Amino acid sequence: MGRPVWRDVLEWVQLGPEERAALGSSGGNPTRATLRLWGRIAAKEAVRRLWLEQGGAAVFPADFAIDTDAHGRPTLRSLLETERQDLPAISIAHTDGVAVAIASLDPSARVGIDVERLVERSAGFEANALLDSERTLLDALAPSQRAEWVARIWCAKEAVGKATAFGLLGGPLGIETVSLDAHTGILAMVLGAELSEACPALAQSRIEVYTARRSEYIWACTLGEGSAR
Amino acid sequence: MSSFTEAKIIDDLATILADFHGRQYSGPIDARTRFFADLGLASIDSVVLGETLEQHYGRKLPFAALLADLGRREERDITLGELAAFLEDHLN
Repeated sequence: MGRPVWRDVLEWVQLGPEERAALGSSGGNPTRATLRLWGRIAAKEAVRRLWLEQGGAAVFPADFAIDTDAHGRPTLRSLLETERQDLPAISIAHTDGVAVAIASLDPSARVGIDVERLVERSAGFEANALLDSERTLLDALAPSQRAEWVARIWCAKEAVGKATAFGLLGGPLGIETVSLDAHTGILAMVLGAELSEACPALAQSRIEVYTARRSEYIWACTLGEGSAR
Repeated sequence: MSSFTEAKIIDDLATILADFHGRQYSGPIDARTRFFADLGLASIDSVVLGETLEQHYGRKLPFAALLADLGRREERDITLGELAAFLEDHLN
């Protein structure tokens, strides 16, 4: 069976010619291609809504392209005003069944987002993904909340990794959750030595990450802002 | 003599990955298969696979170090051959 018609339609409405060609030639799994398409739609929609809120003119999503750098970090490019350097900063994430994006009008904003399905994780998973200090934070929560907060911490690490532009350099243990607020869902994260060296701009920060649960999905996002350590 | 050869470990990986949640690939799995680009797995899946392999081999393995190494790579991907070599080093 060929690819679904709805995806062809979405691609024509949402993507510029280069993006359509790139997506069409990337091959690979059709589910991944669909998620990549959804992610681009989410990012462009986030940008369009920001502009509309600012009283800007409506723009078509296909008038923008999303490029990715060597680390997979997405950047927005106008196909109409090719010289523009002040386009919003964006970040995109997807997991099975859902794609999310965040945008900031500040082109230099260090944005990051992640989404994962809420799944019960084992002690073995925690040992490889979380620092001892993070497991101590989890121990203070009700046992029934643990799976959700393991997912929130994981998503927060991914979001902060994206905000640095280096991803999980040094692995998931290279970013530490130093506090969590179970009421607001806000976490404070600090970079380990390796990421601090790679991204000195965030090395001295307690980076605020907003986390939430919607149905069986957990997501986290950050603007790369926070207080000094 | 090593009791865990790379070929045996690749076989184990192929068996485990044949029914691994998150996998979006149904082609053959061999030493050249890439974890992210070919199997379509995500970062979190690499942690889950680490935990699955620790259960399979009945011992703790230094996956945190492997994940840290993976984060430093330009390509941010690992072939099953490389993963098998890591396992061979630590299982024998």
